[in-house]
Amino acid sequence: MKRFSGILWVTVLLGLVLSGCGAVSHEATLLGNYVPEPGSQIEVGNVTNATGQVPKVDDEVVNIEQLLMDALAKKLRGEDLFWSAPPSRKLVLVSKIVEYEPGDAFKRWLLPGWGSTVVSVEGELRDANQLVGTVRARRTVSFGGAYTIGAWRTVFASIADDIVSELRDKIRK
Amino acid sequence: MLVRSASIAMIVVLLASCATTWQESGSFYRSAQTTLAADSTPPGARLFLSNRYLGDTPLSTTLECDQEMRQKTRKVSYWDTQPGLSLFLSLISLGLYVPFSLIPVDVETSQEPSGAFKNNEFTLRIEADGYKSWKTTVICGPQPAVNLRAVLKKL
Repeated sequence: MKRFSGILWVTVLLGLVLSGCGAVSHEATLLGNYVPEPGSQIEVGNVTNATGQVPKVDDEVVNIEQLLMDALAKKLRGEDLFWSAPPSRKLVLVSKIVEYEPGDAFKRWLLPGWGSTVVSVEGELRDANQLVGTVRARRTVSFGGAYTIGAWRTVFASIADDIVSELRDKIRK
Repeated sequence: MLVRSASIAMIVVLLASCATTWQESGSFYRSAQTTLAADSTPPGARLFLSNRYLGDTPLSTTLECDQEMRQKTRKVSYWDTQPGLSLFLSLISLGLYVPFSLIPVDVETSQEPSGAFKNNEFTLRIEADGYKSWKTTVICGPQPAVNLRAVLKKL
């Protein structure tokens, strides 16, 4: 019994050390009575950096717009939601990165919450240039060890996953 | 018993008060919409919005503009953002984590409308044959809906 509980503790601890932990929130809202046509697909529209900062990692400027754009395209393809050509109905997802902190894996290993990686995105879904829906998502990586090195980049895949899963729920196949 | 209660109360107060003051961290614009419903006497008049013909009255359309959102951030303790995980860390560290957990290091963000809008003025013109043209400015943003009734005067 003692051995079992020891193994359990070690497993829990290893899990916590190796995996990133943080807060996740996301929601999508369709405006008015808008219902997307079944089979509609999404084009990744303009992505802008509205943080008012030029983010840097290791003194190098990070193109966060491109990171989010690529992550969204990849996740949409994975969900068969990526619009590439007619005849499927096209919705355009225009996104703004309103908050971004690259964070620091060493700091959050020392003290959870310190050196958190944070990204927050505001998205607008447009049908024929008419606003039909909004998506909001925020992700943080605020606790973890070595495994969270590079979270400044991987957090975009996570937030794209959140956004696309919200959109998938709203658009029937 | 009294000492234990006081200690618990002290810990609760300490955990709840570990935050810095809010600081402005920029702003961004989000799209806002206002529904415009327009009618006229006589009905069937031509409606132009910013010199673009939209249709004949009565009609309803959606105006879109940009609403400024102010963003504020503050540093809070991990108890504010991840209370469950903080408790877990405190337990597995046998309380060693508690004093460190009071340091406000995590980021909390709040967004609220500043009340400012841009691209939110639209010129509305209603015309009908044999009547004087009727003009007004419609503001998008503060209200979710605007209802207008134009009474056109005969020439």
